[in-house]
Amino acid sequence: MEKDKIKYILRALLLQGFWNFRKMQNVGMLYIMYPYLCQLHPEKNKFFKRAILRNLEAFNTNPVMVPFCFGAVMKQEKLLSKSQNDLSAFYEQEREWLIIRSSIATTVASLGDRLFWSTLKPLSLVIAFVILCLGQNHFLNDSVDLANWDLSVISALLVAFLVYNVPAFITRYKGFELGYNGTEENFFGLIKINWNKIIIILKTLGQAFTLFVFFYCLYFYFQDFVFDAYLITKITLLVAFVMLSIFVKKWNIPNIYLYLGSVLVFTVVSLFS
Amino acid sequence: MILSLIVFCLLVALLELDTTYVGQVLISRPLIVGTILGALTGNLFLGLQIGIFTELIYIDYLPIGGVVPPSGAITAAAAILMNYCFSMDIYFAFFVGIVCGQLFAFVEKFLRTYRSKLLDDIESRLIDGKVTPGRIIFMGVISEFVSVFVFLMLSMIVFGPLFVHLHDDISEKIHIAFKFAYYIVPWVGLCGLFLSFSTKPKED
Repeated sequence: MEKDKIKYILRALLLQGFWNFRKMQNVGMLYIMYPYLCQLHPEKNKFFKRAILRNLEAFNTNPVMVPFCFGAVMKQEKLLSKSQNDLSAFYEQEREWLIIRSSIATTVASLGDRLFWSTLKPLSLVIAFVILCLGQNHFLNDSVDLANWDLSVISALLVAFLVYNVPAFITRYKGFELGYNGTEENFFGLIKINWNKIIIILKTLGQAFTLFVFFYCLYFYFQDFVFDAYLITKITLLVAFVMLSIFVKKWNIPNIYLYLGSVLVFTVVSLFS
Repeated sequence: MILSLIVFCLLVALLELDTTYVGQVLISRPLIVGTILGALTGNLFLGLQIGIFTELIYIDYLPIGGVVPPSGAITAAAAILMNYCFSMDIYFAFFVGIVCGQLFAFVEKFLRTYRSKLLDDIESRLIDGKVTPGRIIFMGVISEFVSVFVFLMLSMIVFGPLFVHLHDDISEKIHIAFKFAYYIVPWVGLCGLFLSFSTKPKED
């Protein structure tokens, strides 16, 4: 199993290769499991077909956290292959397989979405902004000396890539191990990690970095401006839209609608002024 | 120009696969796609700025469950290529990029619905051993690659010449309106970014 670990983790990168609305990642999950099922059922008998059918059940989880799922499912498949001679035990084991698969998928999906999509992805972005700011690259300005960009741009992109992918790779690697060796008591290794504490620390860090970037941009954007009507208009607009942005968040309205709304409003205002 | 446009669209189609189908290692994020395309088209700064603005404007969208968010890679790519191929002003190009990103979400939904329709047949073939899961995945990935490429090329063919045709008739007032809207994007985006790190549960 140890030597095949990387193979399964690499196959997991294609989990969403046939995403569909009916059973979501079911074909992708079968793709990950397929070599293991072939290994367990070399004669490819009716139990193999049943295993294929079983693994084609609806499945959806966070793609980074999926090794927890297939680690645990592989363990269950192994137990199932050993109980083929006793059909009542087999069906009982199969029912347990289904419960474990769906419960672990839901749990890791919730954790993975919060940790990777809602926290690490925006955090990697804001860290890239901080590097650009520290490299004296003001990304809102349109008069920048391009010669100065190379190093800080490359390091910003590289760090953004690593901030997301290093934890993602560690989670994939350790997740498979924990899922396979875990038990129902420790929920397949999931409760060994304090996920909430990690998420709260990272989110606090993200807020601090965002505030730094916001005030840095504000300072550099307005430092050279002359106090005139144009500056007052810009500051008024900025304050109005920042307030509006905070206000519309209460109704979960995405930023994109604020942008499209502003295009419409500015166009109408400019045409009739 | 046509040849370089085809090459850029192929590159974007390849990178866009990372969004959902292959890897999810975030090489398809607008920050990276924008910077790569900016560097290739000779305007690294513009590519980076478009990439950052696109990231910020889509910060609220999370690809959770059956949600199909607008494509950030296509938004950034369409904006940069419109500017490069048709000399479209960046504030108009960004708007066209947003429209393309939104439209591609419909294409993506169609593809996922179409795959659902094929699922019964595919499942019975998989159970009978007539086809391997690897082949099905490969087909899914290829169909996505082709769809992104065709969609981007069509967007360029439709929106680019349309802009060139309308350019002289666009009044200075419209330019100012789009410039102002473009100007508010990073500030609104940074607010969204700050709020996305909130640890408080959302109110119903």
